[in-house]
Amino acid sequence: MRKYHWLAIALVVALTLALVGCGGGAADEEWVFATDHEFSVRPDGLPDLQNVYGFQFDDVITMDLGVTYGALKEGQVPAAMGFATDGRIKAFGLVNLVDDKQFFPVYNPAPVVRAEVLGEYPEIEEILGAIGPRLDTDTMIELNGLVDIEGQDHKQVAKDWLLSQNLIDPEAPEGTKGPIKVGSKEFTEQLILGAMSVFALENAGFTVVDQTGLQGTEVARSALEEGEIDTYWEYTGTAWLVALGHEEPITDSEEAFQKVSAEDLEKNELVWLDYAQFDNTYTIMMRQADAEAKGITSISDLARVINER
Amino acid sequence: MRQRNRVLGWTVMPLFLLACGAFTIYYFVENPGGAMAARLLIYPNVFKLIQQHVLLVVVSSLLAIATALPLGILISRPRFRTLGLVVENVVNVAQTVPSLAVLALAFTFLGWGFNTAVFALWCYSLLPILRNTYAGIRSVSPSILEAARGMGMTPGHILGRIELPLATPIIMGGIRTAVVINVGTATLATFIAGGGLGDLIVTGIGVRRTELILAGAILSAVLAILLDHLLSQAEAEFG
Amino acid sequence: MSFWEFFITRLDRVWALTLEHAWLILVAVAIAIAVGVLVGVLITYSRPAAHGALYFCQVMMTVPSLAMLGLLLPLFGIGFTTGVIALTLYSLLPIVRNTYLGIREINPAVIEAARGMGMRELSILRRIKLPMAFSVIMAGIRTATVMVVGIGAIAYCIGAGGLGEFIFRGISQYNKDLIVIGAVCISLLAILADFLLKRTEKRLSFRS
Repeated sequence: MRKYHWLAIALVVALTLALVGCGGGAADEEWVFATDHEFSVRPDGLPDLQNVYGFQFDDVITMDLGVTYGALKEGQVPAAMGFATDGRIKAFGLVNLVDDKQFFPVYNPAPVVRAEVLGEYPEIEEILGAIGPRLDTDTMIELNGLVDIEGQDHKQVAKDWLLSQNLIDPEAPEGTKGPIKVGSKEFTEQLILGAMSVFALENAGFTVVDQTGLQGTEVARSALEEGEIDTYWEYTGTAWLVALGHEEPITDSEEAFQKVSAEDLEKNELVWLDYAQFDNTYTIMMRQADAEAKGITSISDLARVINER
Repeated sequence: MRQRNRVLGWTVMPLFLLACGAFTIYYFVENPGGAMAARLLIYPNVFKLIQQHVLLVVVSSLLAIATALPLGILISRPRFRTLGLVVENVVNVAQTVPSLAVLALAFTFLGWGFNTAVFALWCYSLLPILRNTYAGIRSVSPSILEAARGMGMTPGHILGRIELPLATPIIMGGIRTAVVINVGTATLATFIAGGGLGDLIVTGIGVRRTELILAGAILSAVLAILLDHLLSQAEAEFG
Repeated sequence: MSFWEFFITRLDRVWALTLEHAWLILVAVAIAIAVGVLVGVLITYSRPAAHGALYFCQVMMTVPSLAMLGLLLPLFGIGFTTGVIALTLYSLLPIVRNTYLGIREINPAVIEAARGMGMRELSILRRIKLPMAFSVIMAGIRTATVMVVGIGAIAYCIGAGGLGEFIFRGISQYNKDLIVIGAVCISLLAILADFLLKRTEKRLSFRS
């Protein structure tokens, strides 16, 4: 009987502690930054950004990539990371801070194909290469928005756009060639681009194995290098820093493309096809109203405001 | 012999597991295997993640015990017989919903963060405790209850001196299940900014750094095994 | 777009992913049954082996699923195979333990009688032990199956596919409908699997 008195008391105490712990757990510090997993460790990510600009956020919260926009919009964090071509930036009233010290490289996406596959089916170069040059920043933002804000299926969005550009016919022919394994990373833009590759190839009579939605840059990249997939869309900046292991970012689109494609062809037998003009760079975002109120337009401004507290 | 095993169980095994954990931390912080992993594998960060993970599990488990135990006792009362059957069936169906989904659904209603994660964990771990409390109490042989009533014990007495003590091993089993599930679900909290060791695992998967994955996976596994062991010891004490 | 309209537009994806998920579970549980029942039977012949095996399976089940998947990733890469391996490991404990307990619970007198009649061990296993332990073993299989349907959702993370896609995309795109579709489909799949296994058990027990 004594045991149970003791247990009951312990439970009540515990419950109290639990409730207290829950409430007190969130100590409100001012400059909390919302980031995704990759950005928190990549060489073009948060730690080195803070080094270069000479400041540090009070706390960093890691979450799934898409959640960062909502977290910023809802006012729960003052700053967050995102991708510049995400449709939600405008729609949520967010603003990209200018990277005045040019810390971020350029990230133009292009289809990367294994040389072996291209050798067997050289027509792929023209099929996939036709897509990139037609995608500009506004188009990509709009397509992303259709998925993230309107809730449309990314495959439908990709197909509709390809049809509107007369890049595919409404009915795909029988798949007689291939199979080609198409991959992509897991976020919306990648899913759309991957779907575009799938439809474009199917339209040209290929059988396509859809391996889109791989979790993360490295998973997709390794899959390509090891032949588990034959192609996916990669960004020049990401490949330069992460895959090819360089330290200095390149900020000119053409230069980045030339250097990356040359090196990837020579070292890894991967061919880079025509790139898209838009730069899906990492971006540090704030709520527009908030940024204006604090007089912050660039990352240097942010650094200054944080350091001067 | 049993006494010796008991003492060993409470001291040697936990210490061994803690040593494993400490060694894991030391090993991966000193050998992150590259610049990317090194950015996360620093002592302050690792300890922060462990603390977050433990907090997630402890808070949600205590809340679950505090709610499921009384509730389980309540529905086991003869007066609430039908309610008990209904609840039992609801719980069975509810447990088919994967923990990830509970977390995600909580996220859509409550937003991201530690509190949402705790709420989801609490919801999910309620079920095993509730079910086992109910089953445990109802498993007490009717003849014993008859005898007790015959001796003139009040329902309150019967509950406190007979039903609960006899049901305790089963209840402890439920608590143990709940806690282990919580450690596992807490690794998923990283997707909705709940923190915890899942941060290491998911980042490791994303940037393909084995050190990050191993650090997070081993530490969370050790935590789960440690808590499971401590609770099985407690279960044996009461049984 | 209402939830139902949304659901209709995703119908073929729902179907495709459900099949993918079901296949993942099927393969994993099938392997777990083959290995688990074998191990369960073998350890009935040795107490220490039983303790060791049951403890190992217990530890396997305690490991958080994301951690398990993460540990298998460097060894087996991304994809279906790794998912199957992880799910198989999780299914082992219920099946091994129930096989072991189911056989040990059989009244020793029955086994004695069989031995007395000159039956050999393999025959005893086939004709007496396994049939008598059948319903307990099936209960273990059912527990394992329902459990791994849920864990399979997490396997999406490492490229194993399945219904987890709805949940993860739903979180990324802040889309409640996707998450609900995922949660409901997985639940229904688990309930369906449990129901089918119960019926299979009834059918098969009538035979013996």
